[in-house]
Amino acid sequence: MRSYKQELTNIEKMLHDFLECGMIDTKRLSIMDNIIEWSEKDQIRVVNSSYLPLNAQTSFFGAIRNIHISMKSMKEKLRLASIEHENPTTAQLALELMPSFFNLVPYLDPFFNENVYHKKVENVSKFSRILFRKAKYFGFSEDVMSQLSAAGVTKSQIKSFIESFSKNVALELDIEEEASSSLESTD
Amino acid sequence: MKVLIETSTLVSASICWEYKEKGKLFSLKHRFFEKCSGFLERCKQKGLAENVIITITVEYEARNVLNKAVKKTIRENATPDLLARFGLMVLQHIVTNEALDRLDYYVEECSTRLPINTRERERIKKNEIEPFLDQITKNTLRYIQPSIPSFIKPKSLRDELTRKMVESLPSKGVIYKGMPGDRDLDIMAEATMIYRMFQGREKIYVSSVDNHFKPNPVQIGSYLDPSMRFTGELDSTIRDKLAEKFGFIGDDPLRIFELIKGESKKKGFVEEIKVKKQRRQIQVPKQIAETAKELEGTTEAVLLNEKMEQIERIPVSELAQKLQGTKDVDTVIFDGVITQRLVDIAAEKKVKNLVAALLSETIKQPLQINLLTFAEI
Repeated sequence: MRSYKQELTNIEKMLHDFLECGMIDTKRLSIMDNIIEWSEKDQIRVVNSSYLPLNAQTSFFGAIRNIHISMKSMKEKLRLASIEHENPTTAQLALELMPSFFNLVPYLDPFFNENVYHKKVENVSKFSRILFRKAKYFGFSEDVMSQLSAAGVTKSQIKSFIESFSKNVALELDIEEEASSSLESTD
Repeated sequence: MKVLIETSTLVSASICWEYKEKGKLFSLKHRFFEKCSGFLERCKQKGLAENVIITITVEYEARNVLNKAVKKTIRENATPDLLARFGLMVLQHIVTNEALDRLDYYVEECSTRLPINTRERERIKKNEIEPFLDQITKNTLRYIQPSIPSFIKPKSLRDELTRKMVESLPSKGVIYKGMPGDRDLDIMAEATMIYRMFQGREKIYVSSVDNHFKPNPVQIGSYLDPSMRFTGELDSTIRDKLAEKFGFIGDDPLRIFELIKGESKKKGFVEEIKVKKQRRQIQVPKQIAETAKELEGTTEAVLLNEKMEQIERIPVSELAQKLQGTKDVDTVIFDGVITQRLVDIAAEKKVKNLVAALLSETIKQPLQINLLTFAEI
């Protein structure tokens, strides 16, 4: 059985070791590969879980995507830090981010192992958002362009999303008259 | 003067997502983004964040609006193709987080929060505001719709007749959007509570782009009618009645900012800044001084390298994020406030100079960075 908790515990231990000896051993970074790989596949799994209510689907997708991007970026930063001899700082930042990953574990492990999802999906969104903000602040994030191109998002998809989102924001705000064309897109 | 931010202002200020691809700029920006975001940013820059209030109701509603709009958009764009579905989820994830980042920034750094007693709010809403509005909105119009016989076809002739008919009306009636929904009534009740909290000593404005709160533009023809147009007049009858009865004045963010500027001048706020400006003068490279002058009033930021060459010019709202991802930045000049968060990022990126319009008073002065204001150079 896969366990995000176990993998995160191993990563946390590795980061502690880096801090203690004051250097990053790049050979040990492959320990992060399991989570990076699982979280990549689990994103597709969530998208394919049509039985899930949309609210739960977006919450779990957001959480698992944030884990994937933050972990991937963290691995790369640690590797670069080792080359640039900035060792302790990056490992310390990575260690500071670990509790935000752990916050999500009680929701993710039951979901991905037993298909059981916690009814309080708003907690998943809340903790996922904390992880996103912290990771972005520490620089463990990926730029938008790379994300879009890696996900194969087409221009027509963006255009259609923008048009639809524009209409829905105005409808939700009940300002459709004031903002008959409420979003502008330039290309 | 206190300004309560209404949901429509907060949401409009939060929606802006831009990215460049092969030199082309893609942007998803709310039509009212510039004025709503500009309002909040300028209040912060002028040190007025303590006068700007975002209540928990408004914050929660704004998150709710974004959430619902995203969900609807996903449903409307749903496709059986798994890869396209994945792309759609990635896209919504990016757009949602970008909007929430801005929303969090406005809540945390551009405004303050006041405690609201929800029982009292419900009481004011049910017993005072709802019956009052129910009564005064009974005889209002949403727009003026002259009835022109259908056999008159040419648009120019119909337009001419419309103009004549509207001009000849003895009174255009009261133009108002109609009875507000529950969410708007909650915010009106909160604005009333804030007014009462200050016992009438403070003017309470509600910054909104929703016609339930601000003066309504006079419009001829239904908004569904392609020939509809605005006359350029504003009808503030209902807004004024609400202000008279409950103390809060709803208006457009731009108009409120003008009023704030006027009040600040009266209270010597501007003079106070000018006095501070004269405190010290520091010699800096010509490029820094020129860029600072150029940036004043633009809410933009410029990143310079060691040779004082421009690396990037971006909106201030994107500065923190951009700085984290840019190498070899020597100097950052921006039309905004130097905050502790920015100083921390700059220190991490080994930036030597941070030059901005204002400097937050709570900054811990770092040893390795020069913190300068426009006034000092």
